[in-house]
Amino acid sequence: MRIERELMRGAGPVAVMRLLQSGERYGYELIELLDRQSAGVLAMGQSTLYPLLYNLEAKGWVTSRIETADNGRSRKYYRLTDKGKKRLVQDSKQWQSLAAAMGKLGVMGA
Amino acid sequence: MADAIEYPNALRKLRLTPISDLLRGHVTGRLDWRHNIRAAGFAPPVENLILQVVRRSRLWRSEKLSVTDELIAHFRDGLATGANAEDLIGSFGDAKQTAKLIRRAKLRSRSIIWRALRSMRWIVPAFFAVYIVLALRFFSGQPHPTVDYIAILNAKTLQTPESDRAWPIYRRAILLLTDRSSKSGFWPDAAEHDIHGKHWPETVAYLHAHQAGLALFREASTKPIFGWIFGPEGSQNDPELGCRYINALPTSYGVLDGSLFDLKLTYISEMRYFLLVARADIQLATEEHDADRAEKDLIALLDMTDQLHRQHALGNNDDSRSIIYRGWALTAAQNVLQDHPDLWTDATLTRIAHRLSRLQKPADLLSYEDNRLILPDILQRTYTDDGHGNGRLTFAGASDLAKYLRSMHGIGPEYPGDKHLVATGPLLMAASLSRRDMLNLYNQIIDRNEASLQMPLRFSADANQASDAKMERWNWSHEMEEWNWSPLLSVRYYLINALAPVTYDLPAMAETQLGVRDGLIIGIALELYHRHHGRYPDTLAELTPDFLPEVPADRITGDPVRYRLVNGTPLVYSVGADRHDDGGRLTYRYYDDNAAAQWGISPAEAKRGDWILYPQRGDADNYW
Repeated sequence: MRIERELMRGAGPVAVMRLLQSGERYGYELIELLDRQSAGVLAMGQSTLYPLLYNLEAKGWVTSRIETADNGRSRKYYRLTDKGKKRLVQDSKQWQSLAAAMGKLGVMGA
Repeated sequence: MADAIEYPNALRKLRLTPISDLLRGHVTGRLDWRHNIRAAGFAPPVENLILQVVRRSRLWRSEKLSVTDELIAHFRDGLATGANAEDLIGSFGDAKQTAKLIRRAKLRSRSIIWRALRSMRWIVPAFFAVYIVLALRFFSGQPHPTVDYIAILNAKTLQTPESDRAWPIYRRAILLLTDRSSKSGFWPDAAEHDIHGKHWPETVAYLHAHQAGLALFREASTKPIFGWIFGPEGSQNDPELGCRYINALPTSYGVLDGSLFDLKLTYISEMRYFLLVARADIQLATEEHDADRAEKDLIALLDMTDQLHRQHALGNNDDSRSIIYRGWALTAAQNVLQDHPDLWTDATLTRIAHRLSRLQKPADLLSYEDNRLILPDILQRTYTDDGHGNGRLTFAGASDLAKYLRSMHGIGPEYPGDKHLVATGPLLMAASLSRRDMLNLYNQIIDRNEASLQMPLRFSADANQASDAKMERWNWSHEMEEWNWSPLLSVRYYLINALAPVTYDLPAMAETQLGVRDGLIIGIALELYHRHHGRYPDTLAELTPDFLPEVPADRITGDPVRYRLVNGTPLVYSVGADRHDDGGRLTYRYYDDNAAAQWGISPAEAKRGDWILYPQRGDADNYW
């Protein structure tokens, strides 16, 4: 089941930041992790991920660095900033409250 | 990676080299993101997808390069996991949409200065579009005055029979008391000489020679109304009195010609001379033991100041003058009481005290009623009229108004006012209140001011006992002051700021005068008590009810005024703005009897010292 676009707009950044909490990751890796860890529910089109990462970067919640391998190929790695970590804590609480409220309404766990 | 790229065109390589590289002497061409895509060696569909996304993002070259490198890495990683190119392209999404999202996200990362400049692309044309619309409205509007406010102002006078108007008689008195053919001044120097100064003999001779004129002055003062007819064809148009005033009028003010701004109140200076002459005559009559003449001169002065108050023409000109002139009369009366206490009989002193007690509240000295006419007249000459009481500022009106205000501030015609108005006028029109709102607010201010004059000033400006109701008027005047500190508010309320009557100074002057008047009435009662008992009372309460109906309240605190005998001489005083009884000591540094007469400040802010009500010093009229 894929999440509708409007819902994904709110969930996507939190999901990506959550994945970055455990360490720095590059774009394709994030796409695969999202797909695998959410059993496809939060699978994100690649065309969505990169603008999302750039937005998080513009807000100062993630930062990036480019690593060039010996063969000359480069990759861009993303990681959470301190500001991003605080934001993730806030957003996580909001999602938990939302989930609890939805549960009470019978929307979740029904 | 850039080292591996071959550039067929040296010029292109130079063009795609960052300045930072060039400054270091390296022509790297590393901003050529297309070359990077080709060099990645992808299959044509992948290469084409990346090319489309990056090209359509319309970012700066450095940003395109960054996106290019990221997408190259993305597809390499995808292919490295074993996915085929078709699947990767299929799951990538729409290139056009991706480019749009990437562009939007990247723009957010750019500097705030760049984003501000970018927003100017829309703001500047929008501003000019709005300005053009405003300018069309500003320059196309025309005022159409329909109401003759001078006629409204004159209505009361014209409805009164000429025999009940004072001005025609004052005019005859002026002709007897002055030399209208003199080139050095119509009124003789004798009228202005200090009493008992070195020129006093000249003044005495002048007064003896001009008693007929003074008799006319006294007769005029008994008339119910002052009777000046305003306007170019009114009382000011009087060649016999001296057309110099009329010839001296400033140049035309366009739409303001014939407005209430255009009134010439030439009688004000004439009445000042009357005051000086009558005051000198009180002194002379006193020295000549002519108690009747001294009393008549004093009553005439008081009546004339009341006439000026009832005339209450515009901008409080008459009221401010009547307060000043009444102050001189009070000083003259007190000087007689102090220096020649036996001149007036008990009956005369009682009559004078009764005459003085006619003034009960600030509204008896001050009125803003005719101020209500000023703004509607100026608005009808400077704003358009939509037929429903509303309208907007016009160029014609603003231009003439600015010209008038410039002349009022002594700014000459060389000041390029109209040029500024062409640029700022439309914005001024947009920022200022509409005609209806301006008038409503103005009337609201006058209503509040009028209401506050119905009670002692301590009830409306008592900072010590502030309540919302009491402080309303005081706060309001503060709010008006704050308009001057805000560029937007000063423009928004500019006409009200310019035309609203002074909200504090004049009421404070009126209240101070009522206090001094209270002191004089107590002084008269003390004199009468002394005549009957051979001593002054120990307390003011002993004066009531035989010599004084009640002890007047301290106009600052509301408590009874203070009284003590100093070396056998009575001293009557208010505790002053500091609300502390200093035993009748004047404020430190300010040797003015009335310096402590202040309202609207807290005791902590006030100077220490008292407000002396009686006896005020002989030169106390300098205060007024």
